[in-house]
Amino acid sequence: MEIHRFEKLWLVASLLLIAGFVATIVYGAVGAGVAMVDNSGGQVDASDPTASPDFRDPGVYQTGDGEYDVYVVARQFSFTPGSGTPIRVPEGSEVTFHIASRDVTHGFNVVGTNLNTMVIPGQVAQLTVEFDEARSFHVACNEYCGAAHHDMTGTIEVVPAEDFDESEVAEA
Amino acid sequence: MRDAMADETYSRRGVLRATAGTAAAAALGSAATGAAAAQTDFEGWFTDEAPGGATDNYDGEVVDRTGEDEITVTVGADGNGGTFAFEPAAVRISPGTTVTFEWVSATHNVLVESQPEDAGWEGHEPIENSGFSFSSTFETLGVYKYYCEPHLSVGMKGAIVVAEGGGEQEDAVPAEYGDWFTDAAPGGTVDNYDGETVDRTGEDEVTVTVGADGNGGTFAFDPPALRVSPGTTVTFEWVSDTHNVLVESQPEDAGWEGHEPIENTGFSFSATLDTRGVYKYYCEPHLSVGMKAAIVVGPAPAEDGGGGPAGTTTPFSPLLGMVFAGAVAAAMLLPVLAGYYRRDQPETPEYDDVEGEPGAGTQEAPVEEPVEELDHDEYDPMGTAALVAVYFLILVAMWVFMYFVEFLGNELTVIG
Repeated sequence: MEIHRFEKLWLVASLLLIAGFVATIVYGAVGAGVAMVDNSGGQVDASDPTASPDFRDPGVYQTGDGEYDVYVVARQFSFTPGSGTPIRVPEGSEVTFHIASRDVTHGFNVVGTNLNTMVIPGQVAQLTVEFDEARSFHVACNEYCGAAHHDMTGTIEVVPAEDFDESEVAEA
Repeated sequence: MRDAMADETYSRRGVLRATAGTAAAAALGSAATGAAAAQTDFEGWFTDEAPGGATDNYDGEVVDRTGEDEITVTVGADGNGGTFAFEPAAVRISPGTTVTFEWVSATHNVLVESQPEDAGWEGHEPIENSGFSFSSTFETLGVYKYYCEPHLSVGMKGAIVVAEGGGEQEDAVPAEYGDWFTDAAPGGTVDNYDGETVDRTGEDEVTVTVGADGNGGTFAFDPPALRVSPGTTVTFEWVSDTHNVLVESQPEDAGWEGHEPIENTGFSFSATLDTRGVYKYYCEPHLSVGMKAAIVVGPAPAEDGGGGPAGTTTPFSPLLGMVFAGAVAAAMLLPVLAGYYRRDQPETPEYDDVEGEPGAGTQEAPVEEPVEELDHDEYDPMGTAALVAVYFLILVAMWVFMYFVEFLGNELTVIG
């Protein structure tokens, strides 16, 4: 088969492009440490997540030096904590969110960041993140969950470490 | 304090009058305004700016006893720091009512401070003790102010309002919600509000269900519009999850705070609403689906009938409906009319039917010989190469931008 030299040129270029794409994903996972939200969170009671031994009452728990667990219950149409009282964590901490729904499928999207997960009833969405900067983030539900879906929002407040009130951390 | 309350009452009434939805309500309101303001205020008679002390047992409410032939005012009832009160301190009666003053403690009299010009009430100047009583019949319309001389300094003062027919209206609070139940106000339309204000006046305790069926789910307050008497205790009972009660507006001197924490089934709280006026409240998580409600504290105006003011719902216009139906009918008839109009037009001829032989209407292009022939590798498709190069650059740019700038460059990333 005779292949024109120009065609050979762009065949090679497209193969390089594909190799580049694959290398990028590998770099993201290995080099930059980007993780996926998977099923490691485990399963809970679909109508009452806190009834399950693996899911604590909603709140912020300290698990180690600068490490926190945040348990969030999503429901029509609020995050607890998050909607009424903001989720408060100190700056420079590594925070693991455990998010469960008690009614329908919700979303947990920290607006303007890569934190984004579905919250499926019966399944805990678990994701870990480092908060390096003191600022606040908005949380939005991005799975249509009912009539007031568009009102389902919350707030994460990352406060300077010296301003963080340890008493806000729930008793383990 | 009393003065301020009275002033606010006055200004609120002014607003209500100005915004009354119907001409009837407007007329009613303006008729009532002057008298009502004077009668709840009594020109400061119950404050310490008038002679004597402030009358603590006057809570701003004129007890309505209109339509009764005989009423009783207790002299020396508990109040004002002892047994130094007229009970009720302020009462509204119809003309011709006989008022009996009954002494229940010692050393009181009844002196007239002021009365309508052509009235001749004399009160009862001698100081009397428990068990004494006297009666007076009030015919002349107007305000009668009286006091007990020995105890004027502690605020033992009273007032009688003689008002023509249905004096109730002067204290009435119209069910004016503005556009609160529509989506012109914050939040969605309140579907479970049908224009009816549920009248529960005269009851001491009333329950409002929070999270009742309605508004596309369990997103309703039931009843959405409620009328109660001043001093009624309203209990809010949660029958579904994730609701709270935030106050949108209330009378100026009322201090209802609602219940901000989000609660679930089984929770309840109570509020006692003393101040007359309209209280609007909503559930924060479900405001957008119309979980809004209102409570009117105070009696209904006689002609109000508990209904909402005009303008809260858009009435269906029959004219608009007829125009729309007409337009639809015309659109459906148009092809029929067009076909009828074109019935005599000749059919469009086929090209092949043009005079002469079949196919005469088309012409073949002449076959041309190639000017120059090139081998496979001798041809350089530079245009295609340039196009591919541009596509390639676009892909690379999008790849770098999307992954390295937009994704990895984002502030937070899931790391576990």
